[in-house]
Amino acid sequence: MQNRLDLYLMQVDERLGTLPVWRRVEEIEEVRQHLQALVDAYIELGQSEEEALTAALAQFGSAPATARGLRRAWRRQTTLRDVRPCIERAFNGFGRLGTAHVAASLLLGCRVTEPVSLEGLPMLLLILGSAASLLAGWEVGKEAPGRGWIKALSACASIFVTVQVLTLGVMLPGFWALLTSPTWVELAVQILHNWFGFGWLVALPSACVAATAASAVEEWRRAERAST
Amino acid sequence: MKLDIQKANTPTLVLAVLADGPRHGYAIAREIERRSERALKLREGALYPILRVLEQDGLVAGDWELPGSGPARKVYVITEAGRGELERQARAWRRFVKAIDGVMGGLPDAEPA
Repeated sequence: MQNRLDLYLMQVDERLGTLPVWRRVEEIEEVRQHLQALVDAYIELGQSEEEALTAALAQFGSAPATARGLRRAWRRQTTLRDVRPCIERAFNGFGRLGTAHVAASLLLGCRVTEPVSLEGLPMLLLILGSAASLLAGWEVGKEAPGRGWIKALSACASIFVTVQVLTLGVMLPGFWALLTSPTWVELAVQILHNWFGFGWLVALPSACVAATAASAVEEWRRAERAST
Repeated sequence: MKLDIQKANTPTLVLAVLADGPRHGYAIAREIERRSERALKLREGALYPILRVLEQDGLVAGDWELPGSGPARKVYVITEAGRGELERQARAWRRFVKAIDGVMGGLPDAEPA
């Protein structure tokens, strides 16, 4: 009997391929407990183990149908229309450090045609600000284990569009300075200064990497919890 | 006569059952069966996708609990939002039944009691 039950669970599990591991572990465990309880109930009514399992599986439904329902529920959870909480989380990430970065950009922006100092508050703000995209990605990834990067892409993209429009005035002179920078120090500073200009090349992938990492950590944490 | 539960009604039935206290999936299925006097037939595997959707919508909260003995079980609790939704659905259902009764009222029952 146990073999047939395991086979059923394996068939469900195989069809849950798109779900993250922790979620699959939880789903399979719930289905297993439910089926086992049904089998026990039928046995109490006087059926043999084999008959009880057959009746339980019939009452529960086929493995493809069960898996299809669970997959659909998971897809619903991870569709882009549910990206709003991620955007909110990403904005929280930016809210903490992003403001500092914008301030740093503005401060450095005032020195575009002057020798640039890499010391003091501007540098500190710049470093803190550069961590914003990583933090935002991390926040988003925690929200969406298993598919963090998709949500990170959507959430961060929506933020970058907004921020880039807002900082367009700062970016344009920065680009010009970048092209005409005489020294590597100025070049490096201008690259950082134009973080948002390079956002699509640097910050956005960084956020996605952070989101994927956070997503994997969260998935692993939940799998650990589910297995205990 | 057993009646197939319409998909759209199952979430409301689940909320109604959970309104009386926390339960795990199997207990929810048994309670629906008990309250309907075994008249409602539910494909029990369909219960879990419904619970997931209710969780996503914040109408139900599920958590793994360790009983005194045996493995951890996921127990579901209705939330305040879930109670509000249940009330709305119950009102809509009663209006629907009243309307149908209004049309069918004069006809005899299909099955004699």
